[in-house]
Amino acid sequence: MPGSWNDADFPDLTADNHTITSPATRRYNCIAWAAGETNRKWWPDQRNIGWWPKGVQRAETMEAFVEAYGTLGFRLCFDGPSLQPGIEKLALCGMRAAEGEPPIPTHAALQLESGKWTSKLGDFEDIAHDPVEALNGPVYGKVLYYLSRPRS
Amino acid sequence: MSMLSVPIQTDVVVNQLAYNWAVHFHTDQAAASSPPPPKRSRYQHGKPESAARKTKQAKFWWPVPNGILTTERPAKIYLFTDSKVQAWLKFRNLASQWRVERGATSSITAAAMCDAYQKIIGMGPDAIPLIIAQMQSEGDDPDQWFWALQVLTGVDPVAEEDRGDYVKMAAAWIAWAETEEYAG
Repeated sequence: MPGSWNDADFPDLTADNHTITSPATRRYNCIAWAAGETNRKWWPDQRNIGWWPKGVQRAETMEAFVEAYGTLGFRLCFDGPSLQPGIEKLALCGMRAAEGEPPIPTHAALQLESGKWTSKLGDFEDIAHDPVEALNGPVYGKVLYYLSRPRS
Repeated sequence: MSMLSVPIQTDVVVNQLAYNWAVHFHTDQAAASSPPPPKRSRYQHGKPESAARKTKQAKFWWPVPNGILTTERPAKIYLFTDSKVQAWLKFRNLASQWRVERGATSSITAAAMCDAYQKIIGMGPDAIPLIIAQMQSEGDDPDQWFWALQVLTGVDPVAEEDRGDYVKMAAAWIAWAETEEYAG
């Protein structure tokens, strides 16, 4: 079954590398989904619409997002998307608005125990996908950071 | 000269006159609206009734801008409605455009910066009741109208602990709209 998204937004997403795992909803976004929340959206917008962890800078920067996931125990890791027993990984995507500008966070995906990744695509469906780079493209850019924490 | 005095019941006279007028009127109308059917020749094909109707069919007057009516069908058909309906149609059109434009973005900021969303804000205070009505229609899956409402009203009735929870945020805005008499 095809998803609600525009296929051109995810040129590397094929029928073979993903499955839809839950219906479309506007109640949460990918950042909240990767944080394990499904009743609110996480985003550090300047109008205070999205929820954001207290004490974390409310800025649309990679650093602020790393800091936000840090409140849940995630730390930067440098061993890529490989599956490691007992470790839960999170991939943080970003994209530069223009050459020379710092990247802006766009998406987060969480690694499942199977090694596949779970993502919420905007206001569309949640999917399980493998590889994590299947969502690279004009909307989410590419994975810039991996974070990890002990799997509970 | 003797005069004969006869009592007249005026209400009876008036009723009779009214009755006569009504009979004549309805008879005339009936005669005018139902002409005798045309005779059909044994060699005539098709239905004479529809042919007769076709010749009597009134021309359709097409509205075009500047208040002009024309019997020539214009290349573009204009739908003239009152300003409130026009505003609603414009809003609905922009809302649809916005959903396409924002695509799969997860960014609240990026979604609010979309051209169509900014045009909704550009509609000014007229957009407030339209947004509230739209939000009410979206039930337990409200969209991100909060940015536009903040800009248009200059207020934010959402409690700090409800940030990001669109259902609670929408409820707060609808309650505010009812207080301010924006809700339908």
